[in-house]
Amino acid sequence: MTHDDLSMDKAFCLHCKHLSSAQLHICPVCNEPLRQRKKNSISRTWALSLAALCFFIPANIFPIMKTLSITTYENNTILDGVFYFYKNGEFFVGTVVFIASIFIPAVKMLVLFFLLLSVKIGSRWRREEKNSLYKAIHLIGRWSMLDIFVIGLMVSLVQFGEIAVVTTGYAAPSFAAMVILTLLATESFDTRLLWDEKGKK
Amino acid sequence: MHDDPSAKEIHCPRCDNCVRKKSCPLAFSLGLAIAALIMFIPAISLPILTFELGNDAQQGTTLSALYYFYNDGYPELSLLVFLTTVLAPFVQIIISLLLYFPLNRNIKPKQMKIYFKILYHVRHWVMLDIYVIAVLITYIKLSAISELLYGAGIVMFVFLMLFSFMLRYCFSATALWKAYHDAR
Repeated sequence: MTHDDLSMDKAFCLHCKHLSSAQLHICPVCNEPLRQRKKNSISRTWALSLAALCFFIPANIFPIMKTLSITTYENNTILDGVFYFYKNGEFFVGTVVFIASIFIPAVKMLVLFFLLLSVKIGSRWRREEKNSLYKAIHLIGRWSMLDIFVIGLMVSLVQFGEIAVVTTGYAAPSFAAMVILTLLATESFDTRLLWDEKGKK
Repeated sequence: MHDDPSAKEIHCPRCDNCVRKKSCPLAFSLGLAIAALIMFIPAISLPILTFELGNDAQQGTTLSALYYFYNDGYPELSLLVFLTTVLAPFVQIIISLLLYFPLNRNIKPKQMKIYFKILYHVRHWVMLDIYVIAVLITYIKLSAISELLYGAGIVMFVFLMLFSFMLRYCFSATALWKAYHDAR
């Protein structure tokens, strides 16, 4: 026997954190539309995270930054940047960049697919841990933007005509799109769905 | 309808998410918003880092990064960086001022619904903390090649980041709506 908002006919407003009757269609406190679950949560999350997966591949195999100098012309992918730090003995920074730009996006998409599938089959296994997984990706997800900012700074600092110039590579927009799409996908998933009995809406 | 929101934090017994957040005093949030506004213009326009190569030097500001992204043919990246480091923090500060200033004087702000909605959504797009770490990483990356100097901008930027972060931390939906319904 569960006592949740669905069985008690209540709706919790995510905007103003006010609990009111589900019969109302507009929150009495903040006038936002009142829903028991986020709108089209499952299909939106599927669509956004699949779209993010499509951008994940070009973002990682194409160069994200180009370095031009008198002697060299380099095309750097994200992994090249990580190896660069390791080669120079900057293990900590290399690890931070690796975690922020490759590990976090990959883990985020895997976790979202896992959560979506367990909602789909109505699994009741370890719901608290699944909720913690969601909280974790929600918290660290923003940090994938790090690489875009680093490129922005590099591009604006290394502008020395024919001696050395850094320009943006064509993987950068894919990378940015992937980050934004995973952010939106995480935002559209509703963790309360993990506890809902299968078949109930 | 509303009990005192400042009294206690309430967590969901099932998923442990915070249902009702403890609020800082409204005057404190107002102070943060004013401090952040003062820091804003110098933070984005003063040079953050200066890179020296031979006799040449290049200054980097937040706004110059936007320019070079645009110049390289990626206006969408320029827009994204503008949104997350300039526009979103600015909107967060201005809306906070518009909300906290009247509420602090016990006056109902007009357009509370719209302000609240904007503030609620814009919080996720403020990425100043990530930008500060990005500056650090760029510093480590470039200092291996040649001389790098800190600019005044980075000090301002760290303060702006701190104020904006605390503003976000102090944001409590329950407390804001209670103040609104209590106001004249």
